[in-house]
Amino acid sequence: MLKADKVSFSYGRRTVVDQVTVAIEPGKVIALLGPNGAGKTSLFRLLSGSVAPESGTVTLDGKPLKDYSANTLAKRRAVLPQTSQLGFNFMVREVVEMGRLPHAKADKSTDEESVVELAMEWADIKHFADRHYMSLSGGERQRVQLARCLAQVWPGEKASGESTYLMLDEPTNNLDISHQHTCLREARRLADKGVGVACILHDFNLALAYADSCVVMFDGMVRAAGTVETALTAEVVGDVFGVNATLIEQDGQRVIATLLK
Amino acid sequence: MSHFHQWIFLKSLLLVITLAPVVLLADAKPRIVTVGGAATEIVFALGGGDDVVAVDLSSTYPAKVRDLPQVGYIRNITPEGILSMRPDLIVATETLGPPAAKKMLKQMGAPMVWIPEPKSLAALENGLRTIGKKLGKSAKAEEIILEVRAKLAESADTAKQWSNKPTAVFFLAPPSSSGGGRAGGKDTRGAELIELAGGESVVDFSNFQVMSIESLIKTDPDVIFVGVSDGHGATPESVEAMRQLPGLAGIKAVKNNAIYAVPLDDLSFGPRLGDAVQRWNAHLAEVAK
Amino acid sequence: MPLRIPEKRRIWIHVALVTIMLVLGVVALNIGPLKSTWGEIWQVIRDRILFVAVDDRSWADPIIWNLRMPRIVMAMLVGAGLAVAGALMQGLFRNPLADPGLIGVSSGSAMGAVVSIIVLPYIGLTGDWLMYAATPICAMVGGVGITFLIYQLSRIGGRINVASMLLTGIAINAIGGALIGLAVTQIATAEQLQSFTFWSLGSLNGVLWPVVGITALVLLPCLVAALWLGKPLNAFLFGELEAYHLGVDVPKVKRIAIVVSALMVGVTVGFTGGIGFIGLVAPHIIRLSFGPDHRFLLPASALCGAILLLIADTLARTVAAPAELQIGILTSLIGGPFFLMLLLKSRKEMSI
Repeated sequence: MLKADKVSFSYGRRTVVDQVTVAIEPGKVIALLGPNGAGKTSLFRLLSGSVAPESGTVTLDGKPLKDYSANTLAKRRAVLPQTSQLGFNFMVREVVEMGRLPHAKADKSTDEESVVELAMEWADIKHFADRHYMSLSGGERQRVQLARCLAQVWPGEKASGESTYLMLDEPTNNLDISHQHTCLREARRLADKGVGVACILHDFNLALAYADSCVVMFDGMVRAAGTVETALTAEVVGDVFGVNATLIEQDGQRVIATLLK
Repeated sequence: MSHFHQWIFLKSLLLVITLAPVVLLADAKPRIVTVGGAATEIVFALGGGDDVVAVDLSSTYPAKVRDLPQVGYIRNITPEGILSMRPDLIVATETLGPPAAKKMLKQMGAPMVWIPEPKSLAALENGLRTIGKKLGKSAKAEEIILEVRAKLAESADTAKQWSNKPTAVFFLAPPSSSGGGRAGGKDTRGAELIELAGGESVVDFSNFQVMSIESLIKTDPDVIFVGVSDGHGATPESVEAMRQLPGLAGIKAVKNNAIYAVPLDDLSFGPRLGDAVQRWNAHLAEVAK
Repeated sequence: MPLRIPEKRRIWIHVALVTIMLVLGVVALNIGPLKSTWGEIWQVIRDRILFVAVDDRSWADPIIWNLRMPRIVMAMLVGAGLAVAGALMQGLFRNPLADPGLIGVSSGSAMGAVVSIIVLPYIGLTGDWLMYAATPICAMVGGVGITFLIYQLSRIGGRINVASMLLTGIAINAIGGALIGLAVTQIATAEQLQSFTFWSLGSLNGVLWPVVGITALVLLPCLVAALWLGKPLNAFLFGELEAYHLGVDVPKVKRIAIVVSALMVGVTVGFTGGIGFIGLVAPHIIRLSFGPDHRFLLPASALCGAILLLIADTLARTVAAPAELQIGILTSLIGGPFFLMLLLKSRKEMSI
């Protein structure tokens, strides 16, 4: 389990994450929601270990993140950034292969190439595997990055049986609606294979459809947390985003419709 | 047989063995490469000019050296470049560079004569004697030294009769409407030449630096010398333009019409030093009382 | 641009580059203002290998062994060092136009050179040791020292901020340029001014074996260290944060890349002066021909840089013979337009 316990972080005088507790569990998809500037990405940075919390602790399997080396950590969790700049012209396949960087030489049992192939298949990018990254559209690039993250924490036949985690910061950015669904379906399927998935989303309907649980943040603090059914209510959405929200249920599917107040 | 000729003999012997097909031994004339204007002038003055096969870029006198192969600029000599002229003797001033190339030439035991940086009468005499000895022309060297000394003494005698020492400034590039010019400060050859000619150099900085028009007005020298040459330095036009500068109208040198264009060559401190000093002395004499 | 290069082809490309480099090196041995023959060159090498006594060596020995050979080896070393330093900086700053000048090595070295050529004599220190040893040492110390200063100044909370490093570099470069200008215009003699000018244009003229030895001693370990950075630098191309996510020890990689580059450029600039464009052009040729993978880019750039500088120096030795052309002029004269061409071409392809 990748867990943040009462963590706080601030930029200068502005506290962006305030006493937040959240856990990413293996086999589960957790969605992070909240308006712009609520502290979602900062919380991600704390969870990924790229910044250290000012107070509170982040632990992986009970051990503080700072006790892991960057490489060990990278074998356990991958992070899909909101935007990814790549100034040099790599091939799509090479970008995905980059995801295997932390595993180099250490793990001979996994057939590196087949992992890359599988990850590309999962992200539906195999047909342009031999194109240049720079020639892709924003959405295509996003899927390539997703494939790279998948390759990094590919569940495979891990001898150690250690759980792995995938952190996606707005993975549906730039994706058309069909690929938004594909993306989250793949995240769901990965979770079903035992990967812990955390996902920053803006669309609560995607969260309702694919996530097990969710955390709704507002102004650096947790406004609501729990299963999507209990935490992601029309009231919470209306409150946090300042809109009129209505829950529509049909054939067991739940959708939240919003209107400007 | 002088040491130098012995060396040529040995070297020739070596060449017969190794380079027989390339080198014509019948050509017994030594091949000399000179580096540095003063070195070249001294070799020519001593009568060795016909043996000079290559010079550096700073050698411009006598005019015929410009037709010879160039081994590059004195500060940027390449050992193999010089050696490729197959010299029997290399005559160079100590200013030859870069230091590594100089060291290399010394280490390789190339047949070299080093003369001090030409910036004083003593350095000239030293150079003449050193090269004269090497070329077996010591008598000629002494003759030239006496000649230079006589000319300098003549100028000194003239200067003694002046009641005041005329003040002077030497410009490498004259001031123009766009600003000051590069003047020769203390311990430059320009200042040295003014002193030798009986004047007083009144520039109070070192080296060649830009002297602003205002500083020039404040210094107010009796005489202004401007180095002129077709290569670098000033042109007659720029000297004339300087005369017309509005700010300079009030200074003594302009009022006395005492701005003189002098050949930049005068600074070479070669065997023609006597002529240069006399030329400058004559200019100073026009304003001296 | 070709598709991904299979492992086997990479090896062959390296073999080809090494072969070209060695063949050019041997050919260059027979090129120079002095005429020489293959027989003589063979004799010199044989004499040296068999430790023939000094007196029995051929006449050509000092020319081939002491004049040409050190320069050829030095050209290879310097070319490789500059190219790899360039590739490291471009990877580290994720900018294909970056060069070691950004981290202050160049201006630091120039300051060092000014101190040795102009300031030391001015304060009364003179002597032979000064002329041969001081400039390289001062330039090296200056280059590494200024890099270290910029590096320290741009650490924010223990991390090196790349943007602030670039800005600090600009400020330090400006101050350095002013100090150099001050020394050059106020206290330099005409001779010193010329020395500095020639130094700043770069030359391998007068390189002796001990210099080659010292350079190799510094460069070779740095080159090996640089090769180790291939993988992490690939990750760096995604951004520092991404590199961390991919398991790269970001501060460590930065530190090594900067120190290694500063050392390599410092030692080469110290001994040979300012030689431009190799650090930019060599990695670019490789990148445009074989892609940006640093595991391949770093060693191939080293070889490419070695080849380029070897060609440039052979030209510098011969085109103006018996005079010498400053190699920095040549590399910039050829490298500049070539670089422009690359830029225009890659702009068309929407990629660099």
